[in-house]
Amino acid sequence: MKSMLSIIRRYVFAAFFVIILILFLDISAYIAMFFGVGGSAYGSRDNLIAISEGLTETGSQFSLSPEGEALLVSQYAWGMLLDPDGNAVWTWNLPEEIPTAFTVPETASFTRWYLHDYPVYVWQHDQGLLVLARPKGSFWKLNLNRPQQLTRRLPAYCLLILTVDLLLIFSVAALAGGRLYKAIRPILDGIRNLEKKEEIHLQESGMLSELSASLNKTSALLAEQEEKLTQRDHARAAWISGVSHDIRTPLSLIMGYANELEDQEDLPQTSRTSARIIKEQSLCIRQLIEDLNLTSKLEYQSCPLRITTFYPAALLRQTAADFMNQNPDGPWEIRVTCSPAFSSAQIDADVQLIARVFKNLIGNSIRHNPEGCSVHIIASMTESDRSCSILFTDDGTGIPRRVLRILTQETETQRETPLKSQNASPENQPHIMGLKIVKQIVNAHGGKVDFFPEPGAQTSSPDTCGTGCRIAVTLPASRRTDMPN
Amino acid sequence: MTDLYDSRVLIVDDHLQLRRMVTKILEQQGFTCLETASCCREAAEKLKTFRPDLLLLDVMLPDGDGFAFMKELREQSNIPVLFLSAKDEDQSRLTGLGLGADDYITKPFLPEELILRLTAVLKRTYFPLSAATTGSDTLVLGNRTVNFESGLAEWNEGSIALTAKELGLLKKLSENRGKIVTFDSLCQAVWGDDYFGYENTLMVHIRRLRAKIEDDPSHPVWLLTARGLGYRLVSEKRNR
Repeated sequence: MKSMLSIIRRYVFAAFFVIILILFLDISAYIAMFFGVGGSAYGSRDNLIAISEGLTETGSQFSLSPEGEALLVSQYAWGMLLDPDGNAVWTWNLPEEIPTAFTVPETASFTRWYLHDYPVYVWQHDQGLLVLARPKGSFWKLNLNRPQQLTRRLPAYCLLILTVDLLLIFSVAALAGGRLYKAIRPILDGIRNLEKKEEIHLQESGMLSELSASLNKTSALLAEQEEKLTQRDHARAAWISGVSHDIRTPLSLIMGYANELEDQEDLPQTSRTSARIIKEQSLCIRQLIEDLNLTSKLEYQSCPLRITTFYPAALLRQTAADFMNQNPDGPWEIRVTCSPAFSSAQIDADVQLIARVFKNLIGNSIRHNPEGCSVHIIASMTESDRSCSILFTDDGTGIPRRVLRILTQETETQRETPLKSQNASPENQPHIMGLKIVKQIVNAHGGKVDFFPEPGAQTSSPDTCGTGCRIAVTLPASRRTDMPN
Repeated sequence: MTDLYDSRVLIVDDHLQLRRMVTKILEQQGFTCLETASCCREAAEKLKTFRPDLLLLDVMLPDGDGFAFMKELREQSNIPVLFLSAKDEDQSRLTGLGLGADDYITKPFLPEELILRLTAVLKRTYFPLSAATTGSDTLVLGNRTVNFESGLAEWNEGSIALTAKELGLLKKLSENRGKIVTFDSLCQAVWGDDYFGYENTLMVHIRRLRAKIEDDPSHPVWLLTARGLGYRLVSEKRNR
């Protein structure tokens, strides 16, 4: 809104200065015209003096100097010199219609105006009155008579008029600017609402009615598109949910019967091993279904967060302990090191989803290192921004480079699946659903996930980024958490 | 009913193969009184004729949904109900448990999981005393026996009294014998929900406890530390 006011202010001042400039130019042009180009007309006085002085009496004859004659020829139609009795004693080029004798009233009449439509000018000569006439229709004679007092105050009046003019111009510009601002404001609000994906209905009247109508149409179009996108997202989430639901019952049968076959001691060992593999892979499918469901819900924002305040340290230890308890004889070791500050920190989050993050990250290390590995989780608080930082490390095979690339390339705004983003066939794609879910959940809680080292980092192995996997999760601490001094 | 496996279980699911498989799993486990129903109407009839001790109920049935059936059932009977459903949404779980179901199992499931949950419900409902005494009042740790009743750790040469906190810790550990119990769970068991800040005190209690139950407390063989996680009471079989 401030920028809009600034624009209007600039508009008002620009309009004001443009008008002043035009006014100044007009006055200059007027002066130039009347006192420059037209000024030559007022040069009549000088001409008259020059011609008068050039007209001299020699005996009973009058003669005109060459300069006077040149002036006469160039600017005047005719000329004559009247003696004090009103009789013409010298004439030059006098038309027949002009008399050669004038009474005093006749003389008084033409000196101010015209003589037979000839604009005439008079000048007192030693021998009488010099009368010179310009061609018909060449000059407009204006007789200006104003009170003396008014003429004396004319500069003050001009200044006053100029001031009033300036005020008027400024007021009109400000009024026009204000009207423009008033007309633009709802449009500006409308555009802001469009940014927030809100539908707008602007009044289609006034000077910007066409613009309002266009914005209304755009808004309706955007709303329609948004509705279609939402419908598509819901349909996709519902489809995934439906498919996963339909898979569940057959998968129960597969798992149940595979389990039965695995336990049948009278079966050959190879068959029992096959049954065990079927059961294990079915468990993978079950996990995949759950991940697919969750990721689609998170992606289409149809998974509301059930925010509670809890200690992440307790949840982290419990998740790690659950893994250890499920695999008491497994070749994995899980260690958790929590700083005192982290142990006392709380977060506002969906406890089920955060548990899922911990489970997926620990499970990631275990799943990708069947030969065994040591998982070390180091949790601490960052004092700078009151965040809980949890680093999951292991000394196993590490994350494949291409997985890291996909995970680090994927931004929040990208709606593409990793498969799409890589333009590769699904068979060649790494299974990163678990880590993708981790990113989605952490992002939904305002945190971030960092994968180390960077995919392009130089390491001894061409396929993996060094020894072991390092994933850091940062989550904002609850306001209830007291930071150590 | 004197034996857990004499419990009468009614399996309600529209999927014939699943009914057969669940029946088979339960039969292999030793359950003998089993009946199945494919829809709500059939289930209602079997409830009258078969009179089950436990109902294993699907949610989506051809002539209605399991939730509505459960609601009607609760007006007449309090028999334990376990939902066995493909609906895994939190809302469905909450609806089922909110209606008074004793558990909610989502498909696909492992047979062991089904058995464990089903028997746990049956034990809680019909054999509460035996369930409580299953763990017994004594805990055997090699040549030492801890008696929770008397609060004494006894061995051939003598005995020593355990404090209430030590007994509480040992009880929690023995309930989860063989498994890691986190610091947080142990603290919660002894100090309640407002347990935060007792971690160091817990270590002191564990040290004292080891002095009473271990032959060589500096090299414990029963009460082990799971670094960074908690403690684990080694099961007797494993230690041997």
